[in-house]
Amino acid sequence: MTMQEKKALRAQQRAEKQRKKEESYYLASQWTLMARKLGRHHLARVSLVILAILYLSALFADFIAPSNLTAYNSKAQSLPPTQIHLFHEGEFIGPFVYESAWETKKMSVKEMQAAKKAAQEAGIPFSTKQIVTDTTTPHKLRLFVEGPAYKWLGLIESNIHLFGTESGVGVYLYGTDTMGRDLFSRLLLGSQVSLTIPFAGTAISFVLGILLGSISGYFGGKIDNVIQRVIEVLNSLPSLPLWMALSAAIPPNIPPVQMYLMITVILSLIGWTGLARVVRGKFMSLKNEDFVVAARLAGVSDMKIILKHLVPGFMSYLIVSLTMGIPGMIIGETSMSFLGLGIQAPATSWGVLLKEAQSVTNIAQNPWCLIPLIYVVIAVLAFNFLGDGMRDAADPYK
Amino acid sequence: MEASATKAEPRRNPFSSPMARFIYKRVLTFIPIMLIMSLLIFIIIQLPPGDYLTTYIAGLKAEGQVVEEAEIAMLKEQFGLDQPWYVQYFKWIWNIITDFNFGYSFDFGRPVWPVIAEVLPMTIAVSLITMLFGYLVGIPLGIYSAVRQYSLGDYVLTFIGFLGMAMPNFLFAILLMYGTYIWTGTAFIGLYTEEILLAVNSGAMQWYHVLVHPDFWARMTIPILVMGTDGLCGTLRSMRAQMLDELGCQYVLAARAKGVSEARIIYKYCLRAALNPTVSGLSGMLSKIFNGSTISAIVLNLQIMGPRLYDALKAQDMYLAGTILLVMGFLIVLGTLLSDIVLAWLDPRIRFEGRSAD
Amino acid sequence: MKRILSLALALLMLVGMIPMASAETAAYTQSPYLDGKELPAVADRLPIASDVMVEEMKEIGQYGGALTLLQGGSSKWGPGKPTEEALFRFNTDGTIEPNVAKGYDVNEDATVYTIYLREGMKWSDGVPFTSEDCRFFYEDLLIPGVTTKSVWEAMYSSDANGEDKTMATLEIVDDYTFKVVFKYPKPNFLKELAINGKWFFAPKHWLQDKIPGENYLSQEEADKLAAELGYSDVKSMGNSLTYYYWIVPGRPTLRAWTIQGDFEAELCTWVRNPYYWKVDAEGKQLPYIDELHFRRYSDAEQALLWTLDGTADISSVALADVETILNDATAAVELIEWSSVDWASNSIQLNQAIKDEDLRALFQNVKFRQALSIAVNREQIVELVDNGYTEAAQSAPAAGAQGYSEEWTKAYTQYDVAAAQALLEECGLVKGDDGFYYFANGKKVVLNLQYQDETHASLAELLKNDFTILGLETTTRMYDRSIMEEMRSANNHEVVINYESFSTVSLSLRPDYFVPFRDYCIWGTAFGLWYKNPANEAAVEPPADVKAMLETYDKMMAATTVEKRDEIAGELLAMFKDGLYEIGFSSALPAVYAIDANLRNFPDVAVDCDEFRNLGIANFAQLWLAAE
Repeated sequence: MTMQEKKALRAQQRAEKQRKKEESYYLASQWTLMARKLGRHHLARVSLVILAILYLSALFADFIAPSNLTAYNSKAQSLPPTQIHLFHEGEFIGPFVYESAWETKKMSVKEMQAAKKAAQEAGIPFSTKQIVTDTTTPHKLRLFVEGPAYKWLGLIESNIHLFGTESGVGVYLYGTDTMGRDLFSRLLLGSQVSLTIPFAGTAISFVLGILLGSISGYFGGKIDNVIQRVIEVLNSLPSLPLWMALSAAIPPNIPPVQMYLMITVILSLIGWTGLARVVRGKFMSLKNEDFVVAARLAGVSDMKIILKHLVPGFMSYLIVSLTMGIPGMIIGETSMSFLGLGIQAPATSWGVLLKEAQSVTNIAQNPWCLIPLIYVVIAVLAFNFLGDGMRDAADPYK
Repeated sequence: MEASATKAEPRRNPFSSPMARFIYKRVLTFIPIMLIMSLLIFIIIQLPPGDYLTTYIAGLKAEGQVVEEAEIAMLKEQFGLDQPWYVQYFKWIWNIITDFNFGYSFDFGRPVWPVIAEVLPMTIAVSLITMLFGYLVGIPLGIYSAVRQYSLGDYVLTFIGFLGMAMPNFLFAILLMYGTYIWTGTAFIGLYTEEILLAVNSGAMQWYHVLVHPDFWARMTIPILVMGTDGLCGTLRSMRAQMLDELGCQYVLAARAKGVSEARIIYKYCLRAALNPTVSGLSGMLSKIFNGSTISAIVLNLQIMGPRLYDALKAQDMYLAGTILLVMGFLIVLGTLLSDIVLAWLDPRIRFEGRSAD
Repeated sequence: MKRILSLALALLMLVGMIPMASAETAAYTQSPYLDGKELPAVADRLPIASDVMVEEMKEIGQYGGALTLLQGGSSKWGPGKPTEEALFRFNTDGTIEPNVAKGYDVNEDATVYTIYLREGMKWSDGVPFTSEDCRFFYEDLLIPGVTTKSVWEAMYSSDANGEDKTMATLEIVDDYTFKVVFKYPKPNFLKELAINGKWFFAPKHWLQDKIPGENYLSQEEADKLAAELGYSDVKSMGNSLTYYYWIVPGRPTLRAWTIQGDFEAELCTWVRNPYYWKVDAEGKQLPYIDELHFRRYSDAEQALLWTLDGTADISSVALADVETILNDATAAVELIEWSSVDWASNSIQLNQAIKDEDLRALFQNVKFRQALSIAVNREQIVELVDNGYTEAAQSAPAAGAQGYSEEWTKAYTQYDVAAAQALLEECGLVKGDDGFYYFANGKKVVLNLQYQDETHASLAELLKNDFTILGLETTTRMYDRSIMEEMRSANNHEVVINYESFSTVSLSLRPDYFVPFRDYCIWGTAFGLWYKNPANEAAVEPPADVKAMLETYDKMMAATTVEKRDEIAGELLAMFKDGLYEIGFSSALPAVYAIDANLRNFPDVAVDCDEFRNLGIANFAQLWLAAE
């Protein structure tokens, strides 16, 4: 091939590529377009990655967490996060930890008060407990160590954990709680509940909202009137008393997480009103469009018109509202735990962990108990940015 | 000439206009809705097992008091708790309709309405202040964020706005309270200092003095930060989204081409249109003002409506809880009615709904 | 000469007497707070010199200041207990002494008590306090039922078999003396009055136009008045004006402070009572402190913050927060430790009248309770739940209380799962293939642990763990307090954690939570119903050991002397020792109060219990704040 021919070939290939690109752009389905646009939104990309990490670690929580929910340890109560060292006595031996414990002399309140008074008069700083670290023995960190047994997803039994020490000395990445349990493990295992239950509630509201909103908007007239009044009444039903009533009415032998799920489901049966109103509005403006009239004239059944022609039109908006609803439910769960109506100890969820952090004693003495707050904030922010990104991506005018 | 023309017009029946008919129809449904709502509320309150009496006895026992059986029987009769629930409901509703008598609060030992009325001013004040904060700060920030889209400022502001919404309020509140203790040596609990309270009790200070007192505003910062940031976030996002929509419109391009200043475009034209959803969101405000946030108020020791409702529900003080919920429901329905009327006035299609299917 | 000398001597003595006499009247002083207010002279406001009460105290104090206390809920006992003034009150060592009353006499067989009041004592509005006020309270308020309270148990006496329960009668002797006459001997009358009777007087001059009765208002007038004052009915008005009277502004009382503001307000002020009838050894009219301020809080964390920043002068501190306070260098509070009368800080009670027949037989079997007791790892509970402030122990009276023995405290506290399982098998349970125990009829044994406070969640978790290891399937659930109460009264409770657990200063004076003679105690609610009326549908017939307990209780209540009564109480205690009606895991927690570092005369050692009115035992009138 001559130089000229080569150039021509390359130009042809470039043109071909360009044409293919344009073709794929113009022929791309709505979803591909959305996905592409989403990919360009920085915050949404980052959020997607963060959420993927959170959900994956929730899925493999039993494996990643070095401990479990029932590992009470009276010697490890309220320990600060374990420091991971690399150099032991000047030598580099890889990551390892030292064993720490509180040095306590068992004193009564009277004795402690007297000791404090004496220290104050002598001008010495006073503290009720000292931490003692055994810096003579390094405990090396290993991957895939044996630890407490668990049943992954209730199916596969195992006792291999991602990391830990061979000697069994605790590695408390986020410290421990007042009962001596590893906070990092509780956080991961708790995220299984906190990240999945919101989906159940939102999904139910979603389906009901679309269904009833579209029926109301499409048919109009009496049906619309009735559904609108029902929405009004349901809207004015206060959620707090309903929560309290339902919490109290559920029989005793049901475990806390199931109870919370039941209440969430029941409340979603009431919480579809917001979405329904918006769907109704959109339907009312869309139902007189030409393509709808045409479909009706062609004899397509009403249900099919709703589900197949109208709904996909603003599916993007619906997906966005789905994404926006989830962070609300995450925060809602923490609020319910605060009031004592949601998931309670001994079950673990982010709400339970935040409830334990809700105490001046914990904030003052064990500030690491606030770490779950960071996780909640990150999860909520991630969902919100993702939702924002999806909304921008679904906007046809940009 | 024109005067006679107008005078010659025949008198119109006030109910003949479709607008009036629409309003009339909506108002008619008001009463049955309120009745159904009151029934549902009453049922929900009665749902948990037990009643005020069990709360009362449990409370006494918690203090080591021994309650005699005869007293329990007497109290039951006195509270009217020995009657079936529908009788209690009917009596309550009847008293409200005929007498405006909302019943007695068992816990407070007083009629219900004064118990509600005494926290109403502060509830409204706190709600208004936090909502104003949300709007006054959210709208400018939203505009800035839209005008300078994708700039560093946009990202930072959006992030801060979201942060306020993402933080669980109760934890935020206690962190701030603890923070004030660490930084100032006095914990900012509640809205008033001891001086203010003593002065108000003795009559030396009136409520308007309190509202301008610097200590009051120092303490008010915590509720504003905790309760106001949710509204701030919503307003910021909505403003930003709407402004972005407006800024992308054709008329903006045309105005710029014509040489209209950027500031004029933003504030005179886009802003008005962008405020639309915010303004229509005001309809839900009526009930929000009345209620305020419960959880934050409990943590911050604000004596407003939310905690009062929560305490009444816990104690099963049914007339107090029922009345508060009824008023809240009333305000929601009223708000919906008003916003529907306004929307119908704006959009003629809605007036004619229920006529033909197109 | 002799005559002149003796005359001079007499003159001298006379002259010497005058300054003494005037010194007596000039010896009283009042707080500067009252200066300038138009009041009669101090001596005229106090009882006569021989009858005024002189309060004993550690240090004579100075006037001035306001004491800030915290008020958490709607309980009126918050301000009620510290300010209470009863006819007779308790000392820190458990004996009683005269308070409003000056003294008493009792006849040989303890059927007639003569109570002496203080001459010249006045109500807080200056009107004299006389025995008529006591008679008015008993005969015109308590007996006719102006309130919803029934006549105090302390006013009844029964014969040796516990029958023929008759009310006492009052005899007025004079303005300052009256007699309480019982049909049968009532040896513990004064102590019972101090615990359950609280006070025994009411201001007739103020109440006579506000209550219904023969010589007072008619029913219609009373209804009208109740509506006017904003009460739902006459009984509510009665409760408010005569029982919870201390929160009614303007109602005369005998207390050291009277309420000035609204009880529900964020800050409620109480101001000193100018007619308070106690002085200190130097003649200064008490109280030292001029005002009480009650601050409202809605969340326990606020109370802790107020304790740390010094707003609260006296507040109760949870043990979990003790270290926070001690580790805070700027907190100007001192922690005081009082002992409590709880038998255990963590315990469970099994409802022996539970509706399920199989569980009922099992719970009534003492071997089952023993098995549960030795299956629990107490060390873990002591460390994790009590933060090491207690020791592993059984539910038993504390050292110094009647019935205490080292042996009882250590009974069934060893941790021995194997022995526990052997006991389970002795109860007729069979271990299944899944490691859990079943009844002989094949039904699985399920223990439902119930608790009403979220602070007990960790204890519930640990117990669930221990019982699961033992082989009994266990569930845990928290209920709101009022729902728990509802469950209990409907006999729906099963295994209850830390709810109305055994706690009393003396079994013979307050057996209500121990012995099922009424539907009160957790482990035998329905037994109490049976005791009252065996035909009651909801009642459950108790087993033999409980019947024996009830008989012993009857004998104790009918005892004619204090010694006899204490002796029979000892028999009851022995039954509790053997019966394990409550299974305890750790010894009682102390009650901790944080007081302002400048507060003086606050007792270092005391027993914290309702019988002694909790903080009331500190005798607030003698507290004072030293200048910074």
